[in-house]
Amino acid sequence: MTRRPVGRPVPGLALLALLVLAAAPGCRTVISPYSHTAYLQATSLKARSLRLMDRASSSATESSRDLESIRTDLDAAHEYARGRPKNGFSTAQWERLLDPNGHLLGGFFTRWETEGPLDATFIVEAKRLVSDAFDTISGLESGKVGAPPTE
Amino acid sequence: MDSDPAFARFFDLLKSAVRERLARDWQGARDGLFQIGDAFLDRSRSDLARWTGLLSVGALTRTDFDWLVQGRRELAEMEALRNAGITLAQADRLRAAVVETVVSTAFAHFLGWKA
Repeated sequence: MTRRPVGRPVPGLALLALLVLAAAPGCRTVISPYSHTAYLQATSLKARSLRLMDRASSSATESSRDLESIRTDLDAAHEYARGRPKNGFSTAQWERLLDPNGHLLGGFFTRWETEGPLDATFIVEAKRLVSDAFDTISGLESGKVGAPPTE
Repeated sequence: MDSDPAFARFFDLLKSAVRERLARDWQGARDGLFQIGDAFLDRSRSDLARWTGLLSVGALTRTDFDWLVQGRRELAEMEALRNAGITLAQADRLRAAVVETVVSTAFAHFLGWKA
């Protein structure tokens, strides 16, 4: 740090203080900052969901307990996203992924339960979509302010 | 304060510091968005090519094929939400960077403090 030369005019310190406050991290952001909890939820639920989808070539009733358990955790992740301020984009992503009438994870579970065991080729292709869908959620989270730098 | 020569020098310095920062940070953000868009188009194309192939040999039913195409559309919506969110986050970063530049330039210029 160097000292201010004598006689140099000093600007309003109040102005500088305001600028320092405005520069504080997370001050007045338009989108929620990074949440490590949200990132972990997305990555962990992705792995569990894809494992469960592998079992869709058998009857859904054989996996009913696991279906119930993962639905609870998926709903919890959605609620966590919904409860964070300025987090509308992430919340909307969870809604599309879990829509029981849609064509991603929620719709896959509906089809499995209503139509019975699904064809192995279809399961492989649906898993690709669901995997990419989870990646969009974790990708948005890791793109937010405060996310750890990517390698 | 506007007519103060010291302030005028500070303001010129500030404008060039902000321009430099914008050129550096925004270029990276723009390149990243282009990469996301290109990757999505490439994946959609390869999915559709694979699914039509599987449909033609009977490995996918018409219902499966329809379901997957609808799923691809819904995935596109999720991609769009991600891109929009990332753009806003980048705008947040950029705004914070501009404010930081204003502060550091002001301290350096008026108080002689170096970061």
